[in-house]
Amino acid sequence: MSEREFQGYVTIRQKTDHSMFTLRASLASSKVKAALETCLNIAVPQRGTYAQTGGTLLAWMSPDELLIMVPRASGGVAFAALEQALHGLHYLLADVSDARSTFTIEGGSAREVVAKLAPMDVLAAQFPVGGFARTRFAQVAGAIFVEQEDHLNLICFRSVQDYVFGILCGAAKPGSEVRAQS
Amino acid sequence: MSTRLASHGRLINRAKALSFTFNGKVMSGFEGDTLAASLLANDQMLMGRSFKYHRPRGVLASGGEEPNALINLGVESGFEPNARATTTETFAGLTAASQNHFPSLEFDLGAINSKLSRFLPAGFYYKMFIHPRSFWKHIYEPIIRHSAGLGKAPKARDQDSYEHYYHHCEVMVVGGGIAGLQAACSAAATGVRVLLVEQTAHWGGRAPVDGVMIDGMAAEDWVAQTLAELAARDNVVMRNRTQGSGVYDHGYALAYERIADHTPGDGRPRHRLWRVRCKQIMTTTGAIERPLSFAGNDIPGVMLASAVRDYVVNFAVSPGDRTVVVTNNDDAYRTALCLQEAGLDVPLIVDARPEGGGALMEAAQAAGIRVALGRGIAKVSGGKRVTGVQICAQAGEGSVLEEVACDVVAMSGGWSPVVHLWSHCGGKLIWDADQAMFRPDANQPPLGADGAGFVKVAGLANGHLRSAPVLEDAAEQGRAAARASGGKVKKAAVPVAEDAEELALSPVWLMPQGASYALRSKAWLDFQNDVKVSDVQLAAQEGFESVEHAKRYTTLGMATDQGKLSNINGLAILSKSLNAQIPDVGTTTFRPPYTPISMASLAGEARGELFQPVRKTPMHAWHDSHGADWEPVGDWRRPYAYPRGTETVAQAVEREVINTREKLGLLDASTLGKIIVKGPDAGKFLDMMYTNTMSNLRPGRCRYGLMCSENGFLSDDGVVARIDEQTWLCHTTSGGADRIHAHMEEWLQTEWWDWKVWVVNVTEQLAQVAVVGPNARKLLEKLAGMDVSAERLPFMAWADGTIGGIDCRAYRISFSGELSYEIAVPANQGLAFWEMLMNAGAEFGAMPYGTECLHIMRAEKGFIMIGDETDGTVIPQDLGLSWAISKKKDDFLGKRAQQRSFMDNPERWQLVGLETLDGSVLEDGAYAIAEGTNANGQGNTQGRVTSTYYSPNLGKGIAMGLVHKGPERMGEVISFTKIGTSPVQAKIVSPVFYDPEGEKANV
Repeated sequence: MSEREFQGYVTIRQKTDHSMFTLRASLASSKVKAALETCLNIAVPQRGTYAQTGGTLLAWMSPDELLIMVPRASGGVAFAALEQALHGLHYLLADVSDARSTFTIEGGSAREVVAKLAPMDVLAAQFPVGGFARTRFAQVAGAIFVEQEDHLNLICFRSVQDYVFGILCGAAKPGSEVRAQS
Repeated sequence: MSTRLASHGRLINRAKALSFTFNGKVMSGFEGDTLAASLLANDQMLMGRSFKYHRPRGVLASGGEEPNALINLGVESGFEPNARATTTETFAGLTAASQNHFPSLEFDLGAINSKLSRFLPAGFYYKMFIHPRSFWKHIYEPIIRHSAGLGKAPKARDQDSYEHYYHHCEVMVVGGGIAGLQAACSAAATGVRVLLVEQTAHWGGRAPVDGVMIDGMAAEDWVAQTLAELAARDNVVMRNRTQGSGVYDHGYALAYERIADHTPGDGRPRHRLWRVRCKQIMTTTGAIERPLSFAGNDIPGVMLASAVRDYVVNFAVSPGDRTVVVTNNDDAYRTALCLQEAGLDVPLIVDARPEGGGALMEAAQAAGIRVALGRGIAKVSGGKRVTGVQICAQAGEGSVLEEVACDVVAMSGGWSPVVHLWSHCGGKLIWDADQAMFRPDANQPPLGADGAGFVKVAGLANGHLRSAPVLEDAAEQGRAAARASGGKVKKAAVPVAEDAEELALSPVWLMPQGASYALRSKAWLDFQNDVKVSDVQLAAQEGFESVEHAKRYTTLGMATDQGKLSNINGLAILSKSLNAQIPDVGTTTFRPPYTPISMASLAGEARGELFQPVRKTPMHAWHDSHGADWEPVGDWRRPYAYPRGTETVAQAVEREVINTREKLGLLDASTLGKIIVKGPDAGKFLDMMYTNTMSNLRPGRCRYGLMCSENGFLSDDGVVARIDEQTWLCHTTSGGADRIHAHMEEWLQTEWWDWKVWVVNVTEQLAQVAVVGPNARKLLEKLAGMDVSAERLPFMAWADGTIGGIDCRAYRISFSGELSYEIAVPANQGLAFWEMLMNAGAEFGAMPYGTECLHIMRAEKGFIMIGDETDGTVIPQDLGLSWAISKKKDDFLGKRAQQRSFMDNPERWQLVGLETLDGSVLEDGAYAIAEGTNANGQGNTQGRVTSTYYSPNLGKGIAMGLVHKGPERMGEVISFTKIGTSPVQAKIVSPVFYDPEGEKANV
């Protein structure tokens, strides 16, 4: 997968240094939570948020789905460790590293650029650092999370990564700043 | 003549002169001008021709309500028709042209229509073009289309960019006049997030023009101070050049920002559509002055009184040297005073009220302006420009008492609150007889999901014509909106506004009130669509009593201005003709957008490459660079074929089919849906999902399965692989992955929530390649890594391993009847894997093949395709697939439905193969002809073609179709329709045309 970058009034960069897993399991189950916490050393996040320790990230997708990101180099080991930790429980763990593409949106106006594409409220007060949401970017589904105040990450399906990169570049086009024009 | 004044001009920058062209003529204006102001400054009062009669028309208004001054703006890729000169900001290099005339604006042949106006009454088109019916399509429509529309449709692709912006706040305030500013302040003080939008480039609305004082300072100073206060708050967003265009349910609103209309080519998006979600919407949208209906009120030089003073005060433009003011209210006296103060001549103020007005009238009289009370205008003299007015008694029938020379008539029939946004979502209006206006009924606002009103209104828009109550109302409603959206309201002082005392207006709907037919037929109501008082009266006379019917019959209010000036005057005339009260007749429906907005802003980023998301497989770029002829499959693009050199697509398909059957073909099958189903109840679940049994499949094996909807119709198919004790992988059709995933989730979440099953759609995680043909195994063995022998990997088995060093899962399945493997690898390895297969396969004759080759090969084998053999009305039993329907299972989705009498029925059309007697290819969708005709006189049918191809292997056309009792009629010859020629005869045969014993795959 090629790394792409666009320098607009924010910087758009494709990020490929991580593996991504989907975990389907009941997040209400104390056994599931304990297994995850033991294996990953991260508490299961609350609705609308993600939790991170080092290079490992857990994001709340639904009451029975987590998204797990780990450094790509340790993807295989982490997958096997999770399988082992969850053994005997009712779960489905799938490697979706190649199924999804991630873009970082960095700059003081990162939220504004996202607001051109996503109908959710991305203002800081409503979507603080640590926030994770599933939403829509123009015509495709995706997820977004706030790593730092000026650093957002967008996840979409691999098949539409060209489209998503295209709409992000358009939204970040110099001259199209929303705030500068009042 | 109209000209630029030395004094006034609060909105223009005289230091910055700009040149622009109108109809090719170079003119000059100032920064800050509207185009209408610039044109007037260049003595260009004539700006367009009317729609129906091609009457010469000048500018009437100074804002968005303008009906006449519509122009073509820009050229080629920057062209836009029907731009209002009053809302277009003048910029250097602007190119404008007038519309709707031939050969020129000054001399227009179409103006003959005006002379023929008595032959073109209301409903003319309905009456004239109704008979004979056969003329509708080929004669009337082309004629009407030719003459329809004012501007021309753009032909070139739009050069500009557009975007959307999603904005969330508690209170949105629409309109940046003093009411809007005050409402925003009051709301913002409570801490809620406020969005304030103003459609023009300037804040403050009318107050600075009308000499309002606020808290002891000039309105302009108060506006500046208030703007600074708002700008200092971080909970307020303010946008000028942004129109609140529409109000929708659930606090959704659209605002239309014109970012770069006045700075074309500066790299900014031209328009931005704000998609606003808020809790409360405040409409402080002001009011629009009404014209008066007198003969010749459309002659260039007749203008709204407020517009006349707007041009003087805002733009230092004098519309003319001598202005007669005609009014039924006090406000218009401001225009007379303003003109006189600017050194222009006001020979007469005609006031229809016998007693006249108050303080403002006294001021005018004190300034030496003659006021004629109880008078009206009988008729305006002039053609392309006003030359004078004939004065009569308002109470009479139009006998001329005197004639006054002038070149401008400033008219005022009172003010109508802009209630549009209040009304978009169902806010009701009440008739205020004292002020002769419809205004919002505070007791019947648009209601939100909680049953409470979510739109509030204040200021002029709420029927307050004086500044002091405007500000009080705005402060109160602003606080109320904030309170309703969670703000903490504290008491705060309200600025005190002062303006001149005014006496009540007297409603004047026709001038003079007893005007003769000749006068009424020259008294315009709707300027853009050429609807006159006499037309509305005719509509009433002909029985169009409903205002909505009268509107459509006369076209009143149906032009691009949507009746902003004509609506109230028109329905007042209608109500009088019907002898009804105005509120009983009611208004027509107000619909968004408030004024026309660009289609491109609605499209936003969705254009060109980004018009629609195209899903691409990991090998997409390879296909593209190898000449793929693309076919859309769902949102995917798949290669239809790979034409080489001078090959046609059809020749490429033929080559691919023969090569795959004889040597080796490679297909990018990545688009196939792949869904993992896991859990203790997964087998039970799949037995419900599929018509056949999946629970007894052994790990390591595959089985073809069918899925039906609960109505029994075939919905999807694919190969299911058992991975381990608790895990299955279900392949779906290319277009069906998301749909089937959702289908599974729905049943699991809503019906079988207690079953222990998890589902994940991993379609995009895997690239999948079909390696097909007699040499398939040779290629895989050459690359080595796993045993793909018939013994280790028999038909309908799968195994994990590596091929050429890439981790994979190999399925021994075939959709072609050939020796075939489908090999899944991680998507990131897809391209490398594909290229490795291509390179290593060269010695075995490997070629890529596309979807058409796939289709032909499956049709040669009689394999069905979802979407070809099925169309949502076909059940598996129709397709000879009863073998794939379990008789042992208690239940599966569709089972009950398939037992209904018309499903379990031998009379249904069933799948057969079809072979034309002459070897030709049947038409797709062709019907099999039966004897006789049906109740509608149409020929009876007994079947139809579902798939049809030329088979390069067999050298003839082959087809599949559904035929009445088809399988019982093998060998029978029936006829199929062929468009434009006589029917084609085809023999009913087995649908398996090629290798019926399946020997080729069994190696």
